[in-house]
Amino acid sequence: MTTTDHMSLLAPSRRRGASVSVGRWLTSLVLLVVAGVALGPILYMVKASVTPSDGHGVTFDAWAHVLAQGLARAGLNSFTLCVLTIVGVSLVATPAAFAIAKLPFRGSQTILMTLTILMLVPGQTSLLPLYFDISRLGLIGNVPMTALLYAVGQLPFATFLLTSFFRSVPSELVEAAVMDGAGYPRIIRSVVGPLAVPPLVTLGVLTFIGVWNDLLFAMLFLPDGTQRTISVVIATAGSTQVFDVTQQMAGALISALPCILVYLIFQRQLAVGLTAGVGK
Amino acid sequence: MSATAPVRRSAAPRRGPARPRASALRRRQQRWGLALAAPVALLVITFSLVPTLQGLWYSFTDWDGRTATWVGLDNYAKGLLGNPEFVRILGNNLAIVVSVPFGVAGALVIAFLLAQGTRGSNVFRSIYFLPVALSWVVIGITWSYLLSDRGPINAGLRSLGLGMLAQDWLGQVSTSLLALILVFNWSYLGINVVLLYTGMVSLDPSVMEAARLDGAAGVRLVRHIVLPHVRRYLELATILTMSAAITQIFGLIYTMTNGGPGVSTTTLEFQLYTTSFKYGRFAQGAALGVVLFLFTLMLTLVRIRSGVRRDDDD
Repeated sequence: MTTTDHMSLLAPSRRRGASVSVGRWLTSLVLLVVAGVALGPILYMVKASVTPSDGHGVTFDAWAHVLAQGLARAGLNSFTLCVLTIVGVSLVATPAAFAIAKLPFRGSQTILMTLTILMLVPGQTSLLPLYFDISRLGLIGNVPMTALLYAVGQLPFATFLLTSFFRSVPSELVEAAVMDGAGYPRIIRSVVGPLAVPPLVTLGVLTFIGVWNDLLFAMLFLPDGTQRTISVVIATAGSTQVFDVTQQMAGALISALPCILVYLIFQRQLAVGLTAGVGK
Repeated sequence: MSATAPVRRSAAPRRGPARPRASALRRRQQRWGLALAAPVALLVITFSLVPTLQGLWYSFTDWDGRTATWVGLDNYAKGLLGNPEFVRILGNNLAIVVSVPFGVAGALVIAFLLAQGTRGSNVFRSIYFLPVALSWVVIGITWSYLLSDRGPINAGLRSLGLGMLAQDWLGQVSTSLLALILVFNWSYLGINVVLLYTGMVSLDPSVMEAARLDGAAGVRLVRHIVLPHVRRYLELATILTMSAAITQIFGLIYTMTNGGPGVSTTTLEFQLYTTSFKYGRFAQGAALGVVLFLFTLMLTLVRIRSGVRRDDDD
């Protein structure tokens, strides 16, 4: 992202001392207030999660309680699901994107067009038939199957992103490797694959946040107590009175921590991906 | 579909001695191209394209999850439009969508202030963007606590002497939708600020300088130089936020209001879930899925017409 700090849109070219500094001061004030509005609820959540019922001091009882009451387990479930999905998407989308970008073959345009159309279809349109098809196969509550469904949801966008990346890789690189007698799988593994790490990281970050935060699919396809994801446990804990308010805040915070961590490390990738139209 | 045709080894003899290598390479590319792309095609067809078409078909049938009999447009005409609650649900959707331009306008003002080169603008941007990392579930739980009857917001109002404004925000029909709309726009503020800020700083400073030399300043500068420049970004932010409002806030509604009271905060997307899994009317659920697709398609057409392209995004 480019930052040109010197660009002042409002300031006239000849500075008029007092009015400019009042303007600056007001600007900072507004920005501070907005920062408060953005951060306030999060800070409140932290405060509520560590305040004991008598309202004095700080305690992590609620944190310990929810972790012991199955939240740690649910977090592990979510994590497994995320890893399976990310690995699946990368393994399937990378070779396909390479083929579409670098190997002129009949059918590539058909595949690309199908993916474009499918990117427009919201998940809810296919949700019900999928649900009954999968349950007829007896695969409701099957973790790899659910990861596969998430992966398929990400595939159109993933293939697109990687295809446009591979198009920017010089063809001479591939041709030289072919001349040297390398097969295409080998070229993907050791020539262009390593180059594709940055877009793969972007995809991984988006997939992680998407899968970790999803509620609807997780609720329907992994309904079983021991397999439920952290989002499902948190979302249903309030209505079923499993946790009190303090515990609910602690649970919500714990479930948000991995995403906040990912956000802090990969802010740029997130911004790029989210502005490309991938919702949370 | 040719994309899934099995990989065949070509038995054709080589055409001539002139370019054997070139044609062998082409055949090899054809074979490998199909083989490498086949998994994506197969998976997407099996788990996305086929269920979508199934959903379309089921929306014209009486479907209980097992057997389906053709009923034409009944699900749309009687099931959806014939349901008195449906008008309210559509209205809810409309209200959220209509609120989006206001939210984006707020983001525009903030992005503009950030672009003034204020000290710490990077820090501010990170803070604004943070809610993006929070899931709808976390946002919904937090705000339902903040807005609850005996929650901090009402307590704050009372301590400011505004006790008459304190109320059960999420528990009454008159305020629940407003609360949902405000929280939704709060969640999208950060991402839109970042998007619009990106648009603003991509404006060439020399253009600004030239405009200033021509005597433009203040409001005129904003209206004639800045706004036309960020128009594409404004349209993109608006459309992305609107499509999120239509298809992506199930988790927020589920945790904040569960669609209620009554159907006062139910949207089409949420109705799809309740119709199907609470009332077992799966065919109507399928019809709602098709309606959601049509809305998404409409927004995409607007986006294409206004010339906003994916590669403009960053």
